[in-house]
Amino acid sequence: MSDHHEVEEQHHEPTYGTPIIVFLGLVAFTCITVASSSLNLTRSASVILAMVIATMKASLVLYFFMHLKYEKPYFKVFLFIAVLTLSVVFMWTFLDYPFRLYN
Amino acid sequence: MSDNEGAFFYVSETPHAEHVDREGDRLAMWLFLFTEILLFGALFLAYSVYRTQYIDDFEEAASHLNTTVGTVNTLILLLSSLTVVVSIVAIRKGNKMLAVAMMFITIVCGAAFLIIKSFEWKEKFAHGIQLSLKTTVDAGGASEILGNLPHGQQVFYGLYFVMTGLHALHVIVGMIIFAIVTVLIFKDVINKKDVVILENTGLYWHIVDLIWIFLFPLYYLIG
Repeated sequence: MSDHHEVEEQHHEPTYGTPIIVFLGLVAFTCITVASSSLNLTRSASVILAMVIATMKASLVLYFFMHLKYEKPYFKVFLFIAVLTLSVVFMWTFLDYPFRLYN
Repeated sequence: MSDNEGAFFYVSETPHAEHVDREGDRLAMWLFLFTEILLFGALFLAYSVYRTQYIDDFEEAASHLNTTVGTVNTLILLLSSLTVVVSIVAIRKGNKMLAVAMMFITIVCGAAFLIIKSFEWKEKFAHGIQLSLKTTVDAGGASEILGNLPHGQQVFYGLYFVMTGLHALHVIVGMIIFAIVTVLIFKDVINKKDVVILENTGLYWHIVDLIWIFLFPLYYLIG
């Protein structure tokens, strides 16, 4: 399995094209998110839109720039667990916090 | 057990037995990055809780941050992420000088980011919005002294300074490591066959970029 991966890694020919395309995509997303902030959307809609775009940008960075695409699946599982942990902390907080008496 | 360990280390000193595990090296870096995600995650959690509590104050304070400056800084960090990736590709293709040039651009981008950030902070300081509530400012800016602002805006600026400050600290550390990496490329320690040091530094730099990708809309856009 390990040997196979080494061979695969060498066969993945590094190119300048892919990173440049990904970069242009990231710039495009940045322009979209800046433009959308002046759209006078409702509060929650603008937050959700901004976070969706940010998550898409983050995915591009993780998958291509951070080479997650070329790593073994367990790297992705590990990242998923880290993000899941953070999500659970967020979820728990917001299950509790809005129902506190002092609000 | 200890005898076996001793034997193992003895054998490993011979050149052929040298064990190289680049996948493990990268995994170790990822594990460190997870701690970074959780470190900033706690601050993002604090931001989101206080945002729900002081929604009006947060929107008011956010509208006073300069969106253009934030956008320019976003583009600078994205560009620096690209140059790191190009540098790795260049090394793997054996183009050492291009890799060094890309490292140079990366460090310049980091410096530009910090300079712009410092001007942004300085402008806030000039308006009396500082790291402390007890500030003394000329009469002109007196109405905007942080201590006089509504509590929610004080919390906003507190989080703003802590989060962008911690992020800027990461940029400074990244620039120092990139300077070392550039020397290692010159010395051929990082070479066509072994780019893991550059790859791992790149991973760190990308997570710093990734954190900014979330900081930017939360502080500069939603408001």
